[in-house]
Amino acid sequence: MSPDPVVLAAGGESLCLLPERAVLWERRRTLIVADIHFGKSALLREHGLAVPAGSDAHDRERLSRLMHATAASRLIVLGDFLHGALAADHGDASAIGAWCAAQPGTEIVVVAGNHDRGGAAAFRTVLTWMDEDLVDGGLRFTHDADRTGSLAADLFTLSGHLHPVARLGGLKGRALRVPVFWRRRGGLVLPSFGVFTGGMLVQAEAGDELFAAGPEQVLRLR
Amino acid sequence: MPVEAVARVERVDRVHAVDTLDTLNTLDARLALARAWFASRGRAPFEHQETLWRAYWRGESGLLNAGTGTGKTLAAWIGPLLAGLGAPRRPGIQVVWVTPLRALARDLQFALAEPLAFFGSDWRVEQRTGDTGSSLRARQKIRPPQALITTPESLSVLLSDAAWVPAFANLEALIVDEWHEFLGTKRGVQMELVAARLRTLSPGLGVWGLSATLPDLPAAMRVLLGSERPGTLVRAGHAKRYEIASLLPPATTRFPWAGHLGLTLLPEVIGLIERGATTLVFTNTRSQAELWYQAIVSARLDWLTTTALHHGSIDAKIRRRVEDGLKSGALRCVICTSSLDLGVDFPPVDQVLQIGSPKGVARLLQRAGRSGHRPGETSRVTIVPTHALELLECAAARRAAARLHLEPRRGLELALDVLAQHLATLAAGAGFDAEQTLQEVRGTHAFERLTCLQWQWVLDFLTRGGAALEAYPQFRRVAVAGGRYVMPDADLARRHRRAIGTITSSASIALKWLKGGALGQVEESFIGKLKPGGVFIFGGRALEFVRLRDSIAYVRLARRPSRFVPRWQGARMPLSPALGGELIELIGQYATGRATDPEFAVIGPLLALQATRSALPTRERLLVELLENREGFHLFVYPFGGRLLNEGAAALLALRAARESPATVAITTNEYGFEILCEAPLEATEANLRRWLSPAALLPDLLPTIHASDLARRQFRDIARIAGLVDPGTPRRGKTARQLQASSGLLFDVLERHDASNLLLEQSRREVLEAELAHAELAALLERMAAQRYAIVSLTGLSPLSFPLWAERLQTQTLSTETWAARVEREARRLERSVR
Repeated sequence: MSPDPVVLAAGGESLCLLPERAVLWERRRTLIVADIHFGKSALLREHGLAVPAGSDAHDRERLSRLMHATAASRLIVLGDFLHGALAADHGDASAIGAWCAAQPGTEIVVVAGNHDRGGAAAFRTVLTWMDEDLVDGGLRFTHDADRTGSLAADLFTLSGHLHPVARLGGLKGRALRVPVFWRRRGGLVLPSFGVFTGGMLVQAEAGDELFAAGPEQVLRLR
Repeated sequence: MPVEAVARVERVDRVHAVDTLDTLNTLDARLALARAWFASRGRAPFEHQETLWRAYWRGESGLLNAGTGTGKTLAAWIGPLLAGLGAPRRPGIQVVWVTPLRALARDLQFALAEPLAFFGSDWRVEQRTGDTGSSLRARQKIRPPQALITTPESLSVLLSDAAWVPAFANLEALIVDEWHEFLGTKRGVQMELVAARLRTLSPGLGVWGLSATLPDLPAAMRVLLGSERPGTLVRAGHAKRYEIASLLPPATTRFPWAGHLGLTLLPEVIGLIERGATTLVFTNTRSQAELWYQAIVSARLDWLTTTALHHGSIDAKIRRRVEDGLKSGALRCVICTSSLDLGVDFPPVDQVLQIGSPKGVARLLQRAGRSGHRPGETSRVTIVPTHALELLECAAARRAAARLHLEPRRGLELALDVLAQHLATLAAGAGFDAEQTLQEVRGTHAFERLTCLQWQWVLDFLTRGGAALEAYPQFRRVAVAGGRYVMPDADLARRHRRAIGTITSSASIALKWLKGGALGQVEESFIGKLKPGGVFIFGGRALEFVRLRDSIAYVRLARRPSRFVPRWQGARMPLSPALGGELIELIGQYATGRATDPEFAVIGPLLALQATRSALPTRERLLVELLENREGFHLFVYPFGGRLLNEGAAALLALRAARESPATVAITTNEYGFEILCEAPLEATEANLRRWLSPAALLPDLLPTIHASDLARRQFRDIARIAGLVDPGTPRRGKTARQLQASSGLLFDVLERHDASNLLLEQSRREVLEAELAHAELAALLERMAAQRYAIVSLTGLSPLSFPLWAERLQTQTLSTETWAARVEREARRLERSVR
């Protein structure tokens, strides 16, 4: 955990940005992540691309560690929990299901994203699946804030979908791409949580704030 | 526009008719017939043409060394054509003609079709490239032509289709045009593999490469044919004559000491274009081509319709129009890059200008060869220097060319990514047998040292994803059925065909008019820096960036002008070591008063200033300059190794020095040397420098830099694409296509973590070491430096040699080019005052 946590005041709540690409909402003991994309490497393998398995397990392990460290009692996933629909008897689906079941005392909520379409069936018993936005306290939780138009609403919106990254430094191809939290008018876009996910360069506007996530701490960029 | 024209065969009466097939089967009769055709054109065959025909008719394979304009096409074509005339008709393709550029295919088709009528041949000559339309493709599948002009990629696509494979069973000849272009590249490796497969399909196949002059032709031939196979080397007897001149700035002009645009000589260049009939102006980068085009048409608005721009990012249709204009003589001048280096004949071209240093001798000769294309004519090129020191490079290039001191090219070895792609191609086609294919693959130069372990790994990679079975559950691509490796899934095979091809480029974004119509491509990173409304120059026009949607950048004509030009990656070609050696030789001759080249009239005073302020570097003397100013402590070293090797030497020095006393340094390199700038003074004594630049323990010191840097990860991009680790994408970008996207960087990380023994990772490290860091060449350079005497000079101000390095660093550090230009200008004036 970061020695100097970055805390945002938004919607009357305080949100702690974690270098592990997650947000901790301490008052409600809630951990928030976006875009895990479980099952991505399996889908690629089935399409003839030789990508080794292991990134799913790695992501689950990261999540477990994080939930333990923050003592969170609720996990909200801002969509794209899955990379593509998995059959209920699929090896990866059962591994995910088993992991969810092994988080006693923790409520897992998935606000469905575009990649999650048709994926709910395999997980209905182990987690709360929401096809609509979740509203709690002064906050709204959604997958793609631009699509649902929730930015214009009165509530502060936490969303994912964009996988925001920023470029740091250097010309000549030496630039470093880092995942960022992107605070813009009316909301915060979280970086993608999954290790096997790419990123999109942020087109930040005046007044926006960017916070680089990791590896050891969250750094304010602008 | 796909060209579907089947070569027309005109009826011409055969002047020297040969009546029976039997007579044609004697070599003398064939030779007489060939000579008759030449006679009907009012000439006689060259000796090398006849030598090659005879060798071909004896059933030999080999390599023809002939420059452009020496009749190499007919040298390779007449042999198989006349042999076919005398033989009973056999089904399928008789001759496959491979060209590196599909743009050349159309002209080849006409050239090959030309003698058909005279010989009464009923052969069809057709093309098959990525541009070939679907109806012709379908027709070719049912009735393959006797002669097929194609590219290595299209040939692989044919082999990936089981229905096509029988068409190669009676193949008589495989001609690989411009073999020097393939040599040393992954396309070359692909070509070797395809040739081996064709030889298996048709065992009597004759394989001939056509190549420009290379330093080691027998080696080039062994790479094409495989080391074990005998071959015949045929050389064009008469050497092509070249005239290489420099455009010297008029004595009154103030000539810049650094920079790369070189517009100083614009009036002289316009004068040259005016005097010539048709001029090709070669530049080293696409951005430079854009700027020169702008400059020329703004100076001569009356040339707007007769001047054109040609480079690799411009849309193919537009390029085709420019090429047609060149051929017909409608254009007075074309500003181009390496996009026009190769093959196609433009008879009207009578003058070639090279803007800036040619960087390599072979390239300069290739470009010069675009003028005076016909046999016996002299090829002329004028080098236009962009700054003072480049005049030295002009002189060095001329000397190296006169002695044919050319850059060597070696064939790549053990490119497992290309092997994986090739085996997937065979599996998607007729399938392959492991045992027999291993023999075939080991017969190529690239894989003669393939171990059983490596072979097994590639098979595992295709069938199971990797050697570690548990890491790849549910993987499917290639299956083993009845002892053969096949690709049963039609969808996978389709996607593999799209992925075929080893030329990879950095992610590019299509450029389109808002109202429709393609303009070309720019790199993603360039568009990433633009804001909507931003104006830049492309294809000779000022464009306004409107928006980016689905990998397409939409633009419209801008109302205001701009000086902003896209920079394309890989734009920088390093100076070849051959030219670097020539360069330092030349300075040495100047130092001893033996240099007489005309360039010294201009460059002489500059070198004299270098000698008084500092010292001149020579072959025996390594120059080191030290300077302290308010920026910090500068160390300048001049190994003359070319940009790539200088960068390696600089990184090594910085690494070893920092190990002894940690410091933050900035490294800048150019073709001549490098600068290391640090905040605290380096202990730059001779003993220290010799230790830091020692060739000993080079590899152990280089390896950590590969791990620390992103180099291997970046190199992996091409490997992943070639080996089929990333999805080629679909023309219609459906939902699945998007779900299959994963960047090669992510793949690299996932593989390192979960399958570290993957041989493709090792290959990317090896490629970085060999190509990017040029490990062997760097070792040789360090050996050379170790044998030199050191001249360590403490400067009081910048010297003529250190000035360009200083300016270069400034350029990469400052954001606005205006302030850069202003500062460089100011500094240059100060330096020049001291000349007087």
